[in-house]
Amino acid sequence: MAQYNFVDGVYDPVFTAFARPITVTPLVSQPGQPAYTSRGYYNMLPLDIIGEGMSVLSEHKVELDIRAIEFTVLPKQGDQIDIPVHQKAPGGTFLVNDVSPDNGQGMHTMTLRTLEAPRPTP
Amino acid sequence: MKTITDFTIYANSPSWRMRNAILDRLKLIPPFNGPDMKPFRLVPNMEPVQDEQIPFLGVYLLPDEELTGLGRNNQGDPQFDTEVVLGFSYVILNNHTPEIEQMLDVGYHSIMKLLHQPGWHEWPAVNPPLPTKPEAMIEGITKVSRRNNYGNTSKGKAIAEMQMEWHVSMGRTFYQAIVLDDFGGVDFTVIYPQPLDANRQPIRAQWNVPTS
Repeated sequence: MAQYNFVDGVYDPVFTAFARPITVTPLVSQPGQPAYTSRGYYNMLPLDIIGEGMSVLSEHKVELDIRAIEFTVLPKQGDQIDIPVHQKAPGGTFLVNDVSPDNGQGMHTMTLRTLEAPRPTP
Repeated sequence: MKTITDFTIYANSPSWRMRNAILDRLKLIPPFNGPDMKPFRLVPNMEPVQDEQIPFLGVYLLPDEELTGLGRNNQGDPQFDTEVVLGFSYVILNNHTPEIEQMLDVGYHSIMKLLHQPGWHEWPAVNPPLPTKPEAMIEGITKVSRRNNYGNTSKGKAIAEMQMEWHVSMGRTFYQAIVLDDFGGVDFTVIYPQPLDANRQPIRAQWNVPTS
């Protein structure tokens, strides 16, 4: 038998220590419903995209971990997530690009895409 | 015989000049002449592309440039059929999926529309002494490959790239002999070999050939 309950014994205290406030605008998961607040663990990783002639487009990967138990309806691809500046750490406005399945321990990892104006301007 | 004054020897190869000439034309047309376009790129993999460098157009000489020898060996000036792979990279950012494909397609077709111009395959000489003669020529484009690179779905920005390669036949490139002394005359001597007639006098002749 597992010694720890991941949902309550591991992720809950970890999120209490490291998660930050977020605002979810459920454009796709709950169309027409108002935005709501929750929390998530925000992380950004460097990512290289290989382009023409083996050029390298310097990119990054934005991840937000959430606990399923804290959501009535899980966010879906296309929902908007606002992560304000918190504890001096930067945030931003993002679109949900991918939602991973439950990791088997009550947590989902969402991949976010920065919401910004197109370049060049259409 | 040609001399060094009869043709121009450029510091750079015909393919390098061809790439630059095409890029100079693309700089003048939409969408590549837009106010928010960033500096054009000539070399694909010197430095990673940073976020603030998007959008941009890159025109690259890709591996391999191949020269196929023409004519018989050891006869005449060296000459080659030259094949060059020209790579185009148009990188933009847009979160709207149908729009980003449409924008990439505009970039692709803007490049291809250069071929509507009757003189697309040639351009004026860069340097004297032959300012009116086309400096270099494209014989033909033997293949075009185009694709859109949307990268990795997990990336943080909606960056996409239109990639295209032109397989360009540059036609014949010549490496003519550089002869700096004029051909002014011939001095020759004919003599029978020994020991047929040791006393026979050789035949000598000198020809002066006017060259101007």
